[in-house]
Order: sequence, then C-alpha cells, then structure tokens
Amino acid sequence: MRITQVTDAVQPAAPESPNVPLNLALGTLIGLALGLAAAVLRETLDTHVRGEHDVRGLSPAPIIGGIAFDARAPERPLIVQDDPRSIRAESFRTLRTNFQFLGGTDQRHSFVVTSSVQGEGKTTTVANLAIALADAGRRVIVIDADLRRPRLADMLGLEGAVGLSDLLIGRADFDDLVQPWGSGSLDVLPAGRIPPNPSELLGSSAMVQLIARLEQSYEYVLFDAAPLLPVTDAAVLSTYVSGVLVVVASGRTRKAQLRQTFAALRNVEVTPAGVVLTMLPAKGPDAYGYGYSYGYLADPADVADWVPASETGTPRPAEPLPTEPPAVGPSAAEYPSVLRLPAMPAVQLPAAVEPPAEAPAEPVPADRRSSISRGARPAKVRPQRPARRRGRRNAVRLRSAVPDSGEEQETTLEEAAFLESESAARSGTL
Amino acid sequence: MAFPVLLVCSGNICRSPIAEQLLRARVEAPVEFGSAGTLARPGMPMTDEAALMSRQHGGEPDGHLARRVTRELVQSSGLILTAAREHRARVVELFPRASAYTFTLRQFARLAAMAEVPEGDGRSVVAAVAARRGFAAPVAPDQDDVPDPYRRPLAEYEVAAALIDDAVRSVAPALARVR
Repeated sequence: MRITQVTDAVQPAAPESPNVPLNLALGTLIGLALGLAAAVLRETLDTHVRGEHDVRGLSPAPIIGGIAFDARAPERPLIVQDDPRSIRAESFRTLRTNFQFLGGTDQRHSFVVTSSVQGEGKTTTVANLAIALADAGRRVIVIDADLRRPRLADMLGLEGAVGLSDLLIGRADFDDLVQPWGSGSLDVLPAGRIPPNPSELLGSSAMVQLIARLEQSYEYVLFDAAPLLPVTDAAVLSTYVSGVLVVVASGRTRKAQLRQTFAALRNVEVTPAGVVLTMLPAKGPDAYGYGYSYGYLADPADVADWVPASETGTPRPAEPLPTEPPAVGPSAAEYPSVLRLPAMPAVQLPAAVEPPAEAPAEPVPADRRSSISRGARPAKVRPQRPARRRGRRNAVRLRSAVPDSGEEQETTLEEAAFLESESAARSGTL
Repeated sequence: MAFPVLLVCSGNICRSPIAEQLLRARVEAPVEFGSAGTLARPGMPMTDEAALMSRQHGGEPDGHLARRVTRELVQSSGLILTAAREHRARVVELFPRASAYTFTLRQFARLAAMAEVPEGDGRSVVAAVAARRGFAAPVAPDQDDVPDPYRRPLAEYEVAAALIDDAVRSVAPALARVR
C-alpha cells in the first residue's frame, strides 16, 4: 500500500458557514416581516380610538378640535388661563374658533358637552372653551349639568354647594346662584346639591325654561353633562339645546363605545354638532395638527425681523402677530369647510372674523418660538412658508385692513339693529 | 359704616374666634369682625388652648361667646371666611347669594396674595380678590382647610393656629385697603 499526495489541500479563504451576507439579508427580511405583522395585528386588535382617522369613520359630526395629551393636565386644568401661550391653550383657542362657526346663522347657541364614558376630559374641555370664549369678549355661561359627579366648581375654584339642582326645584333664584368668574364675561352655575333623580330634574319643564332664558341673556350657553353611555342625563338634555359636542379621549375611548354614543344620540334624534379629540399623543401619526399654527414661526431668522428690538423675549401688547396673518386665508364667506380642522386656514380664520383686539392677546416669547420650531415637523411647516411670506409682504396693508373690516361688520350689525328698531318704532306709531 | 366680615367654623370656640381676634388686632381699617359656628352652642367660651393660641399670636381672646351662624348673619355680612370647605358649603346653603363673598380663610389668603387690591369700599376689595379665582394652579383640596383642633392635644392647636396666623398675614393687607 502506497500513499501518495494527489493534490495539496486548499485552505478555504472564507468559511462555508455561516454565510453572513445571506443571513443578514434573511434576518432583515424576516425581522421586517415580523415587525410588520405585529404592527398590523396590533392595529387590527386595537379597539381604542387613537386619532382622527378612527373618529372620521364613526362620527356623523366634524372634528372641531384636537387637544394634546398633557401629563400635567390634572395639576393645571385651566390651561387657557394658566399658560395662555402653551400649545394646549392654543388648541383650545382653535377649538373656540371652529366652535363659533357651529351655530351658523342659528340664533340659539346652547351646547351640551358630553362624552362616552367618564374621564375623557369633558369638564376640562368645557371650562377651557368657556374661558377662551370669554377671552374673546363673548358673554358666556357654563353650567355644571353633571348632577352625579359635578367637578366644574372645584376646577374653577368656586363653591359648588348650591347651583343648578337648587334652581330646578325652585329653592333659589338664578341670580342668587350664578357666580361670576375671573374678570371677564364668564358666569358659572355649579351643579348644587346632588339630587336623587338627576334625569328627571334635567328633563323638567323648569330646565326648558331655564335654557330659553339663558339663551336670551348669553351669547353662549355651555352645559357640562354626565357621560352618555352610563346614564341618560346627557341624552335628555341634548334634545333641549341647539347642539351637542362629543369629547373623545384618544387611547381611552373604545371604538365600540363611540359607536354606541352616536347611536344613543341618534335614538333621541340628535346629530352631534362636533367632536373634540382630547389626550392626543404629541408625536406620531395620530398627533393632531400639532404645532401647525406655529408653522409661520418655523424659521427663527424669518421671525427675528418681526420682533421689535426693544421687546425681544417679552410679550408685545399692541402689534399684530405674525402667528395669525388675518386676511391671508379665504374670508369666512367663501371658506368652504371650516370644520375640516387639519386644513390650515381654520387657524387663520379667527383674526379675520373675531374682533381685532384678539390677535395681540397671544404673543409668543422668543424662547418659546425656538422650542416650537424645533418641535414642528418640516412636512407641516414647509407649505406654510408662501402664506407667511405673503402675509408679511401685505403686513402694512393688513394692519389697516383688518380693523376696518371688523368695524365694517360691526356697523352693518348696528345698522341692522338700528333699522330694525326704527321700523319697529314706526310700526308702533302707526 | 364699618365693613362686616364674618369668620365661621364649627363650634365657634376654636378656629373662627382665633382668626377673628388676629384679624381685629392686625387690620386698621373700617372693618368690623365677628364670628359664628355652624354647630355652635350659643354662649360657650373659647377653649383654654384656643385662648392661649390667640394670645400667643397677638389676639385678645377675653369675652368671646359662641353663637350660631344664621341666614340673617350671612346676609348682612360683606365677606365670610370659613375654617374649612364644609363651612363654606353650609354658609352658601343658608343664603346662596353669599357664594360671591364666601371663601375659606386659606383660599382667600391665597387669592389675596396674588391680587392687586385697589383701595375702595369693602365690596370692591372682595371683588378684586374673588376675580383671582381659577387663575392660580389648583391646590390639593385640603390646602384650603384649617383642621379642627377641638379636643385634640395642644400640638394640634399649634398647627391650626400657625395656619390661621399664616393666612391672616395675607388677608390683613387686603382688608387694610378697605376705605
């Protein structure tokens, strides 16, 4: 037996296994597929309302506002009063703007604010909305019609021992019970003593008379009502008022509950006037138009020349702010859909429609600007630029144009009232 | 005519008379202080501990006799300061309109510390302070109350008296603006 060497053994240059590039590619693919599957599964199995698109499919009503989640909200619920320059306060003012269009030409402006279940932010929403309306010079009354778990008086720092329930059973007069709040034009009627029969009280003829009376003496009548699903109070009340706002908490309300809520309203033949989304995530796909109102301020260099040198970093009292270039958006009359909120012009509307004194009330200090521009998403910011440029070029014209248009509106209103009273007087003398 | 301010607690023998006496000692203005209790037994004197606390903080406790709070008393007052929220609720139930001028002592102190109070009649002073409601961050509910020391050890009286003394420091300057 002879052993000979046929060839030399070749030393492999690379290992046969593992095949790193293949494994990497496979791993990436499988990982992606798994991740995707998990995401799809989670999305399909998630029964909670997460954001706008969930509500769109369920709601017969437009979304008129979106309030971002704030972990500190329980500590400072009255954000419009507490920190008027915060983004949450801004979103309540946007809500106010859209809300003001809800009534249309209807003379009645009484609204019930309710939700599916408790803890969705009804009271916080109604209180901030009322303050925002009062800030805009509206005569507002907010009534705690949640006669089961009243929270409004505590939130507003008022004594709630007597209120609506005492009024409805005739124990006290309205003038005795109503409490002015702040220095503005906001009145508050707390719930009063908790009665054994809230639904009956809210459905009584005394309640109907009260609503009619309040609609006469206030521009806006807001009711903070009990949630719709557990009790019937809000459904009863909603048939007496001119509109219903449904508060929907992102990540808390279930889609099935929301469906039931709208069904409950349909049963009493009420179509909700609008939906307010609360507790929205500040980031991600469900973030609701977050920060868009500050799109104009995205470029700090652009902002700089708007800030008077003497007042950098301090609120400016009298000058119109670039945040809301008033006449850039379409006018209220030709604006097609005020209520489709994420569309930008909704934010620009208030200054065009509200009294001109409104705009300066929302100055943004320089330090906040920078933080906002950092938080703003570029995709949302970019489309704003042309609008802002135009607004800036037209600044001088706008400044004179806006108060004029405001006055014009007022005069026409006054004229109308005058003509009316005159004709009434004439017919009286005839 | 002096502006009538009423202090209210449960028995009108501990918290409200201390507050009344401290305010009387520290406010130089046409303001008249009185006190009453929601559950008071008329004619009772202050407890010894309460009298001691009042004297320690500069009050004059002699001659105090308890009385029950009535609707007429609430109606004729210009400002009512209560020891705790429960008393505020009882007062407002007696006379609902009083909700405009009834506060807990510590609530009013907190609001007064924030308010710019202009000189004027008592009504305008109260209105200026009341307008601050809701402006500050809300506090824990018990931050509005002075706990009841009645039949408790002296240490509890000291706690209550310190809280009252603290509140009076903020309330007195506001009431001193009454003309």
